[in-house]
Amino acid sequence: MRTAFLITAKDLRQRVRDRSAFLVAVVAPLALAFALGATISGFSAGSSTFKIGVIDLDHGPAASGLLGAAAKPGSSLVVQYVATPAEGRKLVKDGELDGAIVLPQGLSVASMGGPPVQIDVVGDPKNPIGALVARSIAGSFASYMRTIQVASRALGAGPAETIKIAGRVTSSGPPISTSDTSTTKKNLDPKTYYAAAMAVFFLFFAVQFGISSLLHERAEGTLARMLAAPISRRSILAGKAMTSLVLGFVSMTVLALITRYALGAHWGNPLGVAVLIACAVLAATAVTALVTTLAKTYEQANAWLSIVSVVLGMLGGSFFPVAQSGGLLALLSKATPHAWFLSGLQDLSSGGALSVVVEPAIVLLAITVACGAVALVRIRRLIEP
Amino acid sequence: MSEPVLRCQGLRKRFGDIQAVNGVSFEIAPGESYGLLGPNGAGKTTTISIVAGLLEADAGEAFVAGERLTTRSVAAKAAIGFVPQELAIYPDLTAHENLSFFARLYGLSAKQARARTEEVLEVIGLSERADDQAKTYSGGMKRRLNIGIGLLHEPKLLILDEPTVGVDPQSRNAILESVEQLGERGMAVLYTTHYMEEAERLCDRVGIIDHGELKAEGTREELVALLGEHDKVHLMGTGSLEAAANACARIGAVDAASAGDGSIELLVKGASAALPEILTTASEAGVSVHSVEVEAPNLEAVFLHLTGRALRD
Ligand SMILES: Nc1ncnc2c1ncn2[C@@H]1O[C@H](COP(=O)(O)OP(=O)(O)O)[C@@H](O)[C@H]1O
Ligand SMILES: [Mg+2]
Repeated sequence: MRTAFLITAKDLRQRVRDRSAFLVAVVAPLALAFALGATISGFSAGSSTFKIGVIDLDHGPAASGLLGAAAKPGSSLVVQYVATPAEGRKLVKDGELDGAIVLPQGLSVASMGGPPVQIDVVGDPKNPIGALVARSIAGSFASYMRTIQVASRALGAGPAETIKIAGRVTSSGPPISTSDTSTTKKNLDPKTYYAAAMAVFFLFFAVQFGISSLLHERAEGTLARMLAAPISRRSILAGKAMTSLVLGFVSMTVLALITRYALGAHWGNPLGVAVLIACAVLAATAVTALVTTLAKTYEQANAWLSIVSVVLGMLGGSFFPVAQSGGLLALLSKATPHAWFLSGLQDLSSGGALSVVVEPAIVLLAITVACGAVALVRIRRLIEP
Repeated sequence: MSEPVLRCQGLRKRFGDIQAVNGVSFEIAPGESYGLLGPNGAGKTTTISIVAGLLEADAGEAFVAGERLTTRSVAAKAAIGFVPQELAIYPDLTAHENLSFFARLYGLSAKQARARTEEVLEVIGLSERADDQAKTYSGGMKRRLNIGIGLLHEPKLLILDEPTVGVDPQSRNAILESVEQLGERGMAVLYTTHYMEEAERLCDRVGIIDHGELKAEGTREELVALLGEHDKVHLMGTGSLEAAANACARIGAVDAASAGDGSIELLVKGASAALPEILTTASEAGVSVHSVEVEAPNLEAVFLHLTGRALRD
């Protein structure tokens, strides 16, 4: 155990030093939570429904990403595809649409690091709020794409990975048209929803710095060095797992505290929140360990983990409340830790007793045990020189 | 004699179709420097990985200070300091942090670790830069840190895998000197290399390894003796070389003589004693000798003799 602590302490020192973990575990989720939360608070106060047109000249994966970012729980938003900018302008002028967003050609490429492009927003001076809504959706979309880029860069993914991630975000994205979900009774307020959703989404990135760094140390030869030392292989694993757990727990706790006090998010009963966070961190670590044991190299593990994290996040409702949409997606959503974490929080913050976290906690622990067990069987191959 | 620090018996390891190590046995006495000399791919790293407890052998056994060594044995590993062939340090940590971490991993208390870290920093000459991140070091400094980590717990046996590969000549010399000093202080050393000069300079005994097999082992003199005590003598000169070569071949100490381009090459038993007679014979045969060179037999020649191949190819 002493050895495991030494390894964890060494890992954390490295992570503090290179700041990438901080970026992924704190800065990125906060930035998105603020961006998404702020967008929504700009127009969710009124009860009117906004109709926003989307003109997709890009024909790339970015469009559905925009819709994912635009679809807010508690928002009164309808998104509608329009064929050409001219038609969009006409519909806005006629009052058919409150605003329109033009996705320029090359947007998908730009979001993966290609030449910059501009997203145009069409508004009508007679409908300033509609224009504002369209503008803020475009703005939050831009920061969403940027954050995904930053997160994947921080994790060492090359441009190819960025493309994959961006593609994945969008191709597994939400359906084209989304409508108001605010009438559902047990809903988190948007600020809290996005605070929690971003926290759990980036949790899956934060824990990667622990377990999957085994592959990095193997490639760098420092694992061989540890294996030559008079310590057990188990303690090396324990140290790495602890790094994941500590990073995950610190990330979630810091985010909960900051969004609570700076953004006014209502997380609910602190004890219940702590239980949910602990279980989510365990589940995320186990899923990460499992994916890591399937990869051959550190780069491969990072790429796969990014994809798994984004897909689970999309399905689990980190960007769009999939669970409420019904059908197959809702069913798939139930397989993700994200969905259980968020639904536990929803029950908790809508005034449920502490006991409401029991079911999600058990499911999260079951995910931990299932993934953890398979990972343990396979992990032997990770700790070889 | 006291118990050997390392005893290997019949080590074998196969990777797919490649028999990387094929029945290697040797012993290292306390304080002895032992060299494994062989070309790339000979099986040095694989042998060392087994001995360091990183790889499980397919067959055979290794004992370190009397303890049976496997990949799981903690006690036996504590007696070994291991310096891998490739740099294995944390570039984003300082030399100080790298050393402290591994010192603790090797079971030193926080206090012992602090003391040993300072000592080792001194030994590897990195005290001045101890608090800079390792990625800012020169190649030679990184190499020295790589070696320093293996010295922290004052092991009975230090294993070094080709520590001078890819190092500039100056750093190389510094590394060789510090290994020599460690040997003088009584640490047993297992040193692999494909440089004949390093094995000759550093090692009390040398094992010549090729295709996973130990072809021969012994002191430098013992190995050279395998050449049959023959010195190679070059006579450079002008005149009737052919006739002189034939005349010299009739001398008792000369095994063979052949005339080449401006020189005669002779294989001679006890060159220094026979040299006056050889020179006289040559000049009587009509050759004016400009220079004589007696080439001391070396391990490279031994390797050539044993395997029919050059050490460096
Ligand atoms: N992990 C491995 N998998 C497959 N082949 C290997 C592995 N390690 C070494 N080999 C092969 O075993 C042989 C011996 O390699 P090695 O011990 O590294 O030689 P040396 O250190 O003397 O250069 C080589 O042919 C090498 O390609
Ligand atoms: Mg080697």
